[in-house]
Amino acid sequence: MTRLATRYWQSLSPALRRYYRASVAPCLVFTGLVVLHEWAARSGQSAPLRAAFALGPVLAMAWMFTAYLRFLGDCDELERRIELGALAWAAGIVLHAAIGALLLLDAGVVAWSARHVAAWLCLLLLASYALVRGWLHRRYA
Amino acid sequence: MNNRMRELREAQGWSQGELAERLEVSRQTINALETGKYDPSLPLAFRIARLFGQPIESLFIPED
Repeated sequence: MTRLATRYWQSLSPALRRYYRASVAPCLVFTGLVVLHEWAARSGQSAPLRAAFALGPVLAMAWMFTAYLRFLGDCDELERRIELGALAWAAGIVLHAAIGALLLLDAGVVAWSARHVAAWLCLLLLASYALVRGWLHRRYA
Repeated sequence: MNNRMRELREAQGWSQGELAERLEVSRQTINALETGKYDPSLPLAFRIARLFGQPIESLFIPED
């Protein structure tokens, strides 16, 4: 298992290795802040405190996104083509889903909660990015 | 587009990884270039030609 992980790590480009290393700290901070947000949301804190804890994880995500943008600048042209292709597909899929959900809600056909719609759209964005990225990597393998 | 990259790399005795390091690209990029799955940008094509000491038109051959 360790050998497999080592081989996988060595097969990555230096830019991708740098990005993975740089995103460890923001991931840990994000997880910690989500736990704090859960605690603040359930323990009857004041609204400003709940808002601060709710937006904390967004700052950690922005930190992670900065590392991703740096990776996009560092990587080679094929990697960049794959990343931009995956981002474009993911953005297109989520845009279509969001407009579909918005119009269905507006027409009164469905009665989904805003919380669930936002959560599903986030999941759809991450899943479509990961799937398209994997497909593009296989295509150029 | 066809190219002579694999032939020239093997003549130098380099692995795909070594060539990737010399060109500062990923090994996946070298593999995609050699198998014709990806055509390089003009700056990368010039870097490859310069590294092998060949004119660019003898390295990359357009398909008719």
